[in-house]
This record gives sequence, C-alpha cells and structure tokens, in this order.
Amino acid sequence: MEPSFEDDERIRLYLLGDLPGQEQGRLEERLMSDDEFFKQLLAVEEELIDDYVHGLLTQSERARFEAHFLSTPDRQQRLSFARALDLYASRKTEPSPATAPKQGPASWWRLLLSFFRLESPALSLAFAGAALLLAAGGAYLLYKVSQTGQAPQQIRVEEKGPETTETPGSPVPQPAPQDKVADGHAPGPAPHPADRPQPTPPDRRPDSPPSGALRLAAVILPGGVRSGGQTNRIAPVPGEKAVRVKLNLDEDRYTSYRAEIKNADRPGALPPQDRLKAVGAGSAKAVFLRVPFSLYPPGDYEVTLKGRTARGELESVGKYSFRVLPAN
Amino acid sequence: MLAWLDADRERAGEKHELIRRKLVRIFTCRGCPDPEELAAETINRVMRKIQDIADTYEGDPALYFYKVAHYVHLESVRPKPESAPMPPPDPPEKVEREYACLDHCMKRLPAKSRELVLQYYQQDKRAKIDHRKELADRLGIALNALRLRAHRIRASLQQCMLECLDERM
Repeated sequence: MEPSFEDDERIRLYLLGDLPGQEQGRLEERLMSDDEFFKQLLAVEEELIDDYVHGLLTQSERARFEAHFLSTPDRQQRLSFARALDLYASRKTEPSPATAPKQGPASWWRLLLSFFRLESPALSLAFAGAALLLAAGGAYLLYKVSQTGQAPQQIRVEEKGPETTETPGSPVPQPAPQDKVADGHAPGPAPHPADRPQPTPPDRRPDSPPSGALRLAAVILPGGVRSGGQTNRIAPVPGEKAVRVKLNLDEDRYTSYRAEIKNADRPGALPPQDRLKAVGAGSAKAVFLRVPFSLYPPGDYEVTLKGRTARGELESVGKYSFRVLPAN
Repeated sequence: MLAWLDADRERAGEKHELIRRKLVRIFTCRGCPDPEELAAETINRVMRKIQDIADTYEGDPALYFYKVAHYVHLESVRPKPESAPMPPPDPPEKVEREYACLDHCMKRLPAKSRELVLQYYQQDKRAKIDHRKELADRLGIALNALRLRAHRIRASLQQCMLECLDERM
C-alpha cells in the first residue's frame, strides 16, 4: 500500500503515544510487514522533531513530546542533531530560486551582478576575470569595426585571401543577439533558467499571495459566515488535490498567524498551519490556508486563528468555519 | 533463523537487521526505557522457537517477531517511574562544536546531496511544504521519494557528526 498523508497523521499520533490501542496494534503490524511504511515512520519522526525545534507543536503535543517521545537517549540525541541542522541551514542557505522574491525585468548589469554573488571569493574572482576578458574582447571588436567600417565576418574572409574555398552561402558565424555588447558591459555567461527574472504575473503583486496552481475556493469572514449569509462550502473539482481558503482579518496586528483546524466529525486536531503571513492592503488583509483533500475529507471544519506577537506569544484572533463537500 | 527469513544469506541478514530496528522502534514508541534490550530478548525467544515453528509457520516471519514482542513488552511493563526531566539546552561551546562538525560533514557530502539537504530544511513550515513540492518537481521525483532521500542523507550526516564530536572530545 502506498504511504499517504492520512498515514502521516496516524504515525504522528502513534509517536506521541496518542493512538488508541487497537489502531496502535494495526499500525505496528503494518510496520513489521511493510518496509516502505517503516521508512515513512522514520521520516515522520524527523519531521516531528523538526516541528518541536521550530515551536510548531500545540501545547498538548509539546507536553506529549517532552514526556513520551523524548524518553530515550537516542531520541534526545536526534533532537540535539535537529537543532544543529536547523542552525546550520539557517546560517548557510540563500533563498532558493523558487522562493526568492520575484523581481521585475532586470538590466544586464543587475543580472551580471547577481551572477557574481557567489559564496566562494575565488570563484567570484575567476568569474570577474572572465567577464573582464570578455569586455576587453568586445571593446576590441567595437574598435576594429569603428576603424574599418566593416563587419567582423568580412574581415575574416579578407584575411583568408585567394586560397579561400568557402562556398557561397556557407554559414558565417554571426554574433548571437545576447552577445552583442551594450552599454560597454560584457554580456557574461547566460543566466541559469531558474535565475532568469520571471515576468510578474498579473496576480503576483507584492501584496498578493503566491497563487501557484491552487484555486481559491472560499473567502471566509470571522465567525464563519460568507458575506452572503451561507455556510462556506468547498466543492472539490474532480482531479483537484488541494485548494486555498482565504480568511479575512478585521485587522492585522501580528507578526504571523497560526491556524488550528479541527474536523467536527473526527476527534483529534489536524496539523496546524503556522507562520502564516497576512497579505493584502489597508483594511483588506487576509491569511490563506492550504486545504489538501487528502487531509480534509468531506465534513465540517472549524479554524481557530491565533496571532503571534513580537514576543512570540499567541493570542486568539477569531474562529472560522467551512465545509468540504464530496467531490462530484 | 537466517534460513527461515530468506534462502539467500545476505538478504536474510538484512531482513534480520531490519526486523531488529523495527522492534526497537516499536518498543521505543511504547515508552519502554530500554528498547534495544527488549528487541534482543524478542529475537532470542524467536531463535529458541525456530526449530518448532519453521516448518509449519505460514505468513510473514516479521509478524511472528511482533507477536513475541508484544508478550515481551507486557512482561516488561512496570509501574511508570516519574518522567525524566527534560535535558537542559546544550551549552554554547557544544553548539559551536556541533556546528563545526556539521560543517565538516556537509563538505564531505557530494555537492548534489548537500544542496538537496540545505534546500530541503530551509523555510519555516508554511512555505516548506510548497517549497519541497517545487524541489521535488525540479528533481523530477515524487515528494515522498524526496522525503526519503533527505532522510537518508540526514541519517548519514548525524552519524558523521557524532563520530566527529567523539574525535574532538
């Protein structure tokens, strides 16, 4: 059986000692006979430790983690490693191209500068040297052209003299458009596709959330009532795996937000969505939740939204509710 | 016992080790203070019974280990002692030693593995999920495969860091 996100949730409860007896037995039997499931447990274990390190567990999860999960020296050692890895990653990583702030169209000069922003000074120097050489070469070509009034390829043909056996129409190397020298700066190596500035899509303004491929399925006011007075309903489209839900805020007073979500029909909380940032302008601020249907089967859901102060304390902001309908 | 697990001796050895690791995990998750010992006891009991059951047992041998483990656990349950106090946070010198060792271990990783691990563990939770999906897409692998790959690299990093810390003590 392929591992699934529902399995993740059950594994998490198991690791915290919160899985009911019979379910625990079934899970353990599966662990013994399904090697892929065992690997999934190991991965979920790490994620649980990482969530603890980042302060993403609820109060009760944290208590269970400290009392039950950390009961062996091996796990305490893994916690220590997770802290070290977190510190290392936060010191070392640059924003990835996928998550770096998108920029508008950049000049050649800005592109060149960004290409030289490398960690290794030696590598930076090497690239700087190569760029200088290219610039010098380009300047020389320009000079030659200005002196003779002829294109470079014609100079080459003349140099070959009577022995030239080039057939008419044979391709003569033309400088590629991007190699043309402009503003006196060498073009440099072509940027990696991931580093090329992307045109800003119309809905990707700085104050709008990353849209990705997720449909915005509902806009919910505090108290759970859509402006039309109806319960907020999300109707999955066949083949759709997840949607976004917008939670409107009366005001934005917090550095970030945490959404704690419960399914009214099932015991236990769903994984919270934390460190949400408010987006929008003026009084039209909101946070966006991601609703993957694998975790949110049809049913009624209640969201408790909390705001995080500058001191890291959580304060209640409001309650929202929505209903996921069965797929058509 | 190895022959019971698999006709191929090497594969049997791997299965034996995997069963042992799973038992340790289960005992740990059940809150047993000494999971390694209980796993060893379970395996010893199965070994003693092998000759009686090998010819007639049907099904996955791992589940037989599990059944024996269940009884080993029941026998081992004692009144719960008070929870051990949380270990204090590591002193700054230890944190810096760990950082130095981790840096050393990272440099020993192939560049692609290093890049993967750094990209995988950056970002806080909200952005992390989307970011990991994009990373998986970029690598052309499923999200779960990325997760398992990151887990394997992390395990080797942890081992390397512990060895490095031992050397520097």
